[in-house]
Amino acid sequence: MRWEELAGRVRLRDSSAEEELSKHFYPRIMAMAVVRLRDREAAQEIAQEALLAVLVALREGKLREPEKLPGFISGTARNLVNNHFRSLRERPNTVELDPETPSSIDLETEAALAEQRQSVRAALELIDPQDRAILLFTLVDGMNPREIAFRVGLSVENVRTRKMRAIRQVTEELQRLSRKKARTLLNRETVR
Amino acid sequence: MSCSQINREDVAERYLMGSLAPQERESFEDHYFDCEECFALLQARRALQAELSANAAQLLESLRNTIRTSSPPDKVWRWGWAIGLTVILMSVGSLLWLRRPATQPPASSQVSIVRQQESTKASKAPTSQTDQTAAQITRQNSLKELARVQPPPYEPNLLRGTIDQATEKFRDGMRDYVHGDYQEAASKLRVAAKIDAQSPRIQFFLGASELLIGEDDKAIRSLQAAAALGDSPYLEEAHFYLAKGWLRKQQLVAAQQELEKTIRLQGDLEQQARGLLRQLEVLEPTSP
Repeated sequence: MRWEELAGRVRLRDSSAEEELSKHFYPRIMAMAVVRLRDREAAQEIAQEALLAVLVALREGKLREPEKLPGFISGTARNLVNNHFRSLRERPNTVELDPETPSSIDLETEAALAEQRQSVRAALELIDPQDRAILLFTLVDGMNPREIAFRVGLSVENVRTRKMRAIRQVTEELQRLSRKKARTLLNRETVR
Repeated sequence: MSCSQINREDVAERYLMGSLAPQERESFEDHYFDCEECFALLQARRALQAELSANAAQLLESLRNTIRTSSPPDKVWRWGWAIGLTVILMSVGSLLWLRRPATQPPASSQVSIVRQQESTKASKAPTSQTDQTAAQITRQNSLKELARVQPPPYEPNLLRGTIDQATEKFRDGMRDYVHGDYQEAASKLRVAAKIDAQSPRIQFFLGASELLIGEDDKAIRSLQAAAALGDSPYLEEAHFYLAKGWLRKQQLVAAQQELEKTIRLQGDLEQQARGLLRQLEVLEPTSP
């Protein structure tokens, strides 16, 4: 119901609905484009084009199954990514819209990611050096547990267990820092 | 795709490393567009990956320091073997001693006890030749691990219209490839390559198939042919798999050069190539 309702409001040119849609899906489109393209600049262009294409399609009532809005948006973004691979710089026709630009959302996404990295840095300090290396080998070097086990002199099961434990520790610390930040913001609001 | 499957099968990590099959990748993307928790999980992994990548050198140095302060596995094994042998010899010696007649042992058995003691001492001190052999075996095993090849994914091109003979042979071979019959695939792709030697995708998948069936020299030639055809969608993969081919032949310098070329192209395989290069650099100081 939520997606149907949102799509319906966008069709009626409700600017708050468009903002809500952009804020929700822009980070997801960016994530997909960055992971696939490994080029942040190209990803930003594609994310903005995808969002524009989606908003135009919704305004024109082209989405036949509004409850499948997330799939429609992911499919649109994927097509643009594939087009980029195929033709390098193919662009859809630009359409004039209201001045609410995705670039402010992009800045938010960037700021959120930078903040998250700072939190990750703090969380990584709390875990064992060998576990940090296991995470490095997994997430950066793309090694599987067997390869890592050979590299660090542990059993495969041990590597798996330590990796899961390290990720859980980092995730819990991130959640704790996030709750602490939320409480700080709430306190500031209360004081005002 | 469900949240539990994503957690159970490390899907987010494999997505970030580019190692999901195309269908799995799409399925995961469709999922996180609609799932707050899994998207948050993905974003956390991305931040973690970025932070680890930025501090890779520091983390590896920290790991090396940790490893230096603890016994490496092969030394532990050798000492364990020596201690085990000593215990066995002492047990046998004790049994013999207990069973002896109540007189002084003859001189020859005294000598043999001394010899046993000497051989026990000798077994405690590993020879330098044993060390060297063990180091060679460790290096070879490491190279073998690094040279392991996963079949590069293949997505059929579904363009309609007439197809030429080379494309027909290519598709025929790739049907075998997709079913894991790389021997048959290589045989058909060779025919396709004879018809059209200028097709990067034919040369690339021929090279990949030859790597997968252990025909390393042929694989290197085919992949070099694919790379020589210049800027194509297969250029990056050709260099990456060439590196694997050279690793199979223990030609580390050639492998490093191919990995550097892969990295310069800044494509999907850049991170994997950087990781492999880093591991080769760690391996290189221990090579004889």
